Amino acid sequence: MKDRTSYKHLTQEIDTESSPGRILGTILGTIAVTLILNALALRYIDQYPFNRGYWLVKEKWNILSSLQAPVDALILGDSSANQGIVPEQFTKETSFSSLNLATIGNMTMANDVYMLQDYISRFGAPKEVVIVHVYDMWERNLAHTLLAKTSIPWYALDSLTPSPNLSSREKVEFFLTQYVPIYAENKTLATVIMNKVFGPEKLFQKRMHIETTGFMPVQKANPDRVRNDMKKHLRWLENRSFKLSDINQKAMQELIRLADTHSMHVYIANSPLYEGMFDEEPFRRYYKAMQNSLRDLSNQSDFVHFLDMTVVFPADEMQNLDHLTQQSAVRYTQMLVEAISNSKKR
Amino acid sequence: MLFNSFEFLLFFILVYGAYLAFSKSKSLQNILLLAASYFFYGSWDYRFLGLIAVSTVVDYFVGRAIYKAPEDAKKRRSLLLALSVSANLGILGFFKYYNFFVESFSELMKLIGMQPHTTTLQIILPVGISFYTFQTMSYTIDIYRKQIKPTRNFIDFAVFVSFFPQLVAGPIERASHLIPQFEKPRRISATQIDTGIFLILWGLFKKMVVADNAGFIADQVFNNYTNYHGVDTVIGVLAFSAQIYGDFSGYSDIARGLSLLMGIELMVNFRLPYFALNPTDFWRRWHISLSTWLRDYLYIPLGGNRKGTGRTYCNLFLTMLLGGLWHGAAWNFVIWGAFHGAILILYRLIERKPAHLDPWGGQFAYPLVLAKMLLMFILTLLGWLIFRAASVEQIVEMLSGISLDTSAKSAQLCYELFFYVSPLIMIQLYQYITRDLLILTKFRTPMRSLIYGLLLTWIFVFGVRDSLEFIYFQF
Repeated sequence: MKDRTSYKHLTQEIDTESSPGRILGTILGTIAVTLILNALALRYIDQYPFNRGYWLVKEKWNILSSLQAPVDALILGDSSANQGIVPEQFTKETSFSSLNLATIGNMTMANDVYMLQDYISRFGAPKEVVIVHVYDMWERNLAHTLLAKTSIPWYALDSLTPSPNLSSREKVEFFLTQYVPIYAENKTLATVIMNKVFGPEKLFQKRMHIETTGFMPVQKANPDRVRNDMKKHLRWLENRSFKLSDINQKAMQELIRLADTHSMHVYIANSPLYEGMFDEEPFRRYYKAMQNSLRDLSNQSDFVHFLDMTVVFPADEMQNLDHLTQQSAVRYTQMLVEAISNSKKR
Repeated sequence: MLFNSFEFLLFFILVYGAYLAFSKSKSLQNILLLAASYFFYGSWDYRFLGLIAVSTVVDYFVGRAIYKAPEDAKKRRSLLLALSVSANLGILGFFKYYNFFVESFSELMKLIGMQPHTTTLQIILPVGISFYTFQTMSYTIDIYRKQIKPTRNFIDFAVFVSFFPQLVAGPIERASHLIPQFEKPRRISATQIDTGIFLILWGLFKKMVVADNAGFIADQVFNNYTNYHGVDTVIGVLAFSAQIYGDFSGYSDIARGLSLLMGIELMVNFRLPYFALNPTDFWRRWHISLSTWLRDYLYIPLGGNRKGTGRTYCNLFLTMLLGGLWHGAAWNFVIWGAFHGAILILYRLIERKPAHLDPWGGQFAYPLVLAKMLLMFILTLLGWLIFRAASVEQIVEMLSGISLDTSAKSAQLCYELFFYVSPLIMIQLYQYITRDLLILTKFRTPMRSLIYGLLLTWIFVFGVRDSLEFIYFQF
């Protein structure tokens, strides 16, 4: 009869004979299963992305990589340009074929330069380069996890100009972001598994759209968001003086070198902005300092032109503080072309 | 350094590499382990290395002195033992309980109309102090009881006190089990490595996926308890029960796994406690190293069950009360201990020989066993509510708020908790049915690889990166 007062027969740790071969097989098998699951995750995220920033960077670099023939004008910059400059309109106004490769602000101007270098190495210098950035981009540092979404391989990081100066830890994170989404994009995957597999939303659904010209149209304005954004920006501007970040400084130097070397005209402009910002003194002060700094840098080259244009829109024509709706983007593109034209006349 | 940090991974790789390189010399290995353990402990707070060193030195020499004392020198032996116990309890008492006792005394005096002038101090609680003081005390007590001989090698003893895998949160080892392993050359078997790998993986899963995610839900409810009622309170308590189990058993598993990789066997500290049928069964499954320590060094010396029923119940109650106090210097821990003491006594009144009954024994229907399990689980949850609450007021309010009422958040909270805990439940059910905590190591390599790969991927995807500190570190 079993001893009913004894717990020992109920839950034990029963060892099993093992061997080095079995251990090795298990370790290798575990790694293989993990790699397979990682590969499936990588494929899924590529096909059905969730993170808009990651997706935009990857998509624009894909457009660049798959370009078969040269274009006359490259449009670079951040998300304000991504949504603000319509290549068809640009082409209509200038007769130049154009491509919008603008990404997001946290890629800084370094990404503009990396894309330009890649383009030049394959097609030679374009006739024109237009770069549009939001005013607060110039202080930012390059986000290495976003850089991982470009076509730049991890082993080429040290040979980039300007150098992103990544620490060892950042290089590891760069690698993980490029190849190990189960680690680097775990929050996205966790959301997908928890909410999409077992939830009502579709698992296999394309969520974001971009045109073949690289332009990302947005139809709906969001005036409340514009005004809320303004409050956040004004808080950010409190007691702040303009300072160009190291990476942007180096990117500008490299851009000047490329422009001079290839006799390539580069036009740098400010993004469209919500008109309400210009009622605020801290913003005006900061903006003016920024313009002065960019003007001084541009003056180092005959081929780099800073467009002294300030374009504002009301809140009901914008998606956020510096993102336009498609209708307003057409107008902004026209104004940009006009400013470029005026610059040429000078 | 938390076990689930890159810093610890790097630390262990270096230590393990050197450990294997020194495999021909157990002395060198022990010196390495001692240095590594002090480094590990110092990384938490180097200021408290002195305390662990004092505890080590006192107990080493006291142990030898007790052993050397002549047979008839009972008084001397008792004094030496008292020296060891008071040194260890003194350290523990000061760092952990000084302010608690001062404040409690002050409140008591105020109740009787007095206004005492008391001074509390800003005392930092050294990590792991409750664990290593108990571990070293058991050494001297066992020598006094002539159950073991003292070790001759100071390094071996020092490693026993400070062995880094179990230093900060147990298991609380016995000298008779651990010191001989440090005294002998180690031969690491394939079985140990195999089991060690599983325990580390399983421990990381329980900690990073189950405990830390459940912890967010528990914190949400407990830290804002006035905004949560009804079913939400129940979900919060369930979440905490998952958190504390995943956290503590996860840590124990990782500690045991790391030790096995080095050829050292630590005791099993958890045996599926939520499958317990009664309180006695529960304490044979939960934090086994502490419950057996309390049984051997407190309950039995008090008389155990040898002095009549009434005295047995008193001893049980006092042991559980002090066990509760061991967990922390706060009244909710004392109440929790008292609660477990009370239900232990209650069950003894109802069941003469409470034990775990084998539901597959054929003598009892499954519904009865399941009902007992469910009742014990509910009582355990009640205890966890008391344990986790920050004040008596919170205990009362949360208990009185329990009902079947749901809120807009209930479904989401329930879904999230179930999502994180369900893999644990499935695997533990399988472990329970097969009566083998290592059942997953029995599968053939392809199936094992699949399971381990899924666990590892689950840890990567769902594991909390900025991990919450292990709960039992604060004890």
